[in-house]
Amino acid sequence: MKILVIEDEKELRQTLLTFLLQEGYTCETARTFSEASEKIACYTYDIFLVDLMIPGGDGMDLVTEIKKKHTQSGIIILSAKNAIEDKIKGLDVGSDDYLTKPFHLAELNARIKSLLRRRIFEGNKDIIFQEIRINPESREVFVASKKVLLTGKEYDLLLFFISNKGRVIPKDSIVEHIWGDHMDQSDSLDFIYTHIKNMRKKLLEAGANDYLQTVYGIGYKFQVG
Amino acid sequence: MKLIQKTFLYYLVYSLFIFTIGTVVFYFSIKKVLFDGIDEALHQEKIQLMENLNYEKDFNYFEESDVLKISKIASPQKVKDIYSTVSLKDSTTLESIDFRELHSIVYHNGQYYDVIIRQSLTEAETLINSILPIEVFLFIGLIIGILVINRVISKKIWEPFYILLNKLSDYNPVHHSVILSEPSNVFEFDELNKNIERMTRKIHQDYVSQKEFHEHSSHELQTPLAIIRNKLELLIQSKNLSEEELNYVSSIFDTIRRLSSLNKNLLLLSKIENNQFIETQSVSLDILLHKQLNHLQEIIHQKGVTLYTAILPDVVIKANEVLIETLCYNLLSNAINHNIPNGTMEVILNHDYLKIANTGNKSTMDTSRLFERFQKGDTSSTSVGLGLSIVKKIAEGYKFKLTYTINEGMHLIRVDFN
Repeated sequence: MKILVIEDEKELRQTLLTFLLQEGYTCETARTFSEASEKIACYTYDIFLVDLMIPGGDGMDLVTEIKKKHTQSGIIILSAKNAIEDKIKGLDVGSDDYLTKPFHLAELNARIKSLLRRRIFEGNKDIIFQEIRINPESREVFVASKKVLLTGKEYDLLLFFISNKGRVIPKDSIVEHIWGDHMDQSDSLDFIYTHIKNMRKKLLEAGANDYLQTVYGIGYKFQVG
Repeated sequence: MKLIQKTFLYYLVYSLFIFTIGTVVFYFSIKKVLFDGIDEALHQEKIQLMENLNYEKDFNYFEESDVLKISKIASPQKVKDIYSTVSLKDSTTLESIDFRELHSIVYHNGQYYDVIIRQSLTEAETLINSILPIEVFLFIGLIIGILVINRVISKKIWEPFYILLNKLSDYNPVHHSVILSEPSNVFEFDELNKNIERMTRKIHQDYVSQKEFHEHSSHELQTPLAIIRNKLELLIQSKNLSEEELNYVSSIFDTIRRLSSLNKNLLLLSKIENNQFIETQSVSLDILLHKQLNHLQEIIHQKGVTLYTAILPDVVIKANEVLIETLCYNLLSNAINHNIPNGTMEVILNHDYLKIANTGNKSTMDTSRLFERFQKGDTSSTSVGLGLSIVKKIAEGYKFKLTYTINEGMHLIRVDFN
């Protein structure tokens, strides 16, 4: 999977690059409008991450350009503006998703995975992690062909963990992914514990191994061994 | 008191003073002039009388009357003429009439005579008594004149001033850019207008630049925040972090969370101030509240808070959905976050108001400043203290009445819709 990161801020660009390489993607970057424009014209990518405010032009124009050239590719807008009009406009010109800075890497990861599933497998491919199998279309979870009944939130949690398998996920990333924007202003994030505990219990009862590790004070990690 | 009334009051006091003093002085001086004249006449009459005596042998020739009395006396005690005012009863009408009297001793043919010559004061008194009504009439005339002139002045001359005053009281840097100076033919008003124009232009510029600064700084903070956050996310993937290091990382995460929440709220405030939420929809408050309470149930449950609700169905208000969601959410999360463990919380909604009450610690903060920015009940709280000022801004925008009361440990916030 090949990703083009269009971002002028050096530190952010490098962070994204490091992260995406860790996740096993092939990754290239562009710093300015013209550089991005050139790469869009010459190469093909599966996913474009586009910052709206870049030197030399409007990120929205790049989105339109990408949409014309690469109909199969997915586009995620990264913006410091959290205005609804911008989101609507971005989605209108053909982007698939819109992330507001500061975003969580785990969230970006989940969005990329979900976009890839929708784009390339048209949502029909099961997600498999060891003995756990998830059907994203029907939102069903199986442990070695045995169906596990999860609540909506538990299902979202499991999918988020598996999308970010092997990574330490901070608690607030989980809260923002499952509960949305507002909840991160809550005093304590401990309420997610009950949901995680229930999800883990149900998976264990269905015969799955325990993949969930607690990382002291920070969050959780879903991985083999 | 209006300026014009105040000046008028001073005029009134001054003219009342001058007229009172003037009337008294006028009265006495007129009286003196008149009496002097009469006394002079009496004196002439006496001289005339004495001359007449040269032809007559005896005083007996003179007939006695009210105005002339002559009587023989043995010897004089005093020879000086004495002028005085006397009051005598008229023999026919029995009314008392004032006379000016000259009392004199006259020596004639070896005989002393006591002579009294009088002249009626009726005419003079009529004249003197007419002074007061005339003065009063003049005074009233003057006051009416001043009143009329004042009114004309306030209407015509002060008109530009009052127009400016009206504009100033309506002035709001959010909606109006500048109060333009309008030429009047009064130097002071032109100066005032010019200065007001200069000042409002400056105020508006300051407001705009402050607004832009506010907005830009919040936006510019987003990227550094994103970098710190994301670098930290990369850092925690390292397997070699000790428990102590994880503690540091955890507290950095919390701090970033607070910082981005603060930034998000500041941005929201500046957007509300910039009127970026103008489009209105019909918002079902009951549905919204149920949705949010459902969303918050984990936190309510985790804090052990018991929730009581009395939410009427079909409470619809016309407003911006995002703003109303924010208002309700901030009030609800406020009631949860500032609650005590195992406390209670009440949410009451009807067509007139939304009332949210919660148990809580005795607040040490000034309740009148509760809705101001960065006011926090306790400093240890992780909240940034912007939630309620956002609520206030939104309420102000829709002219909702916002009241806060604390009663027996229950904190109550009530939003009255109009």
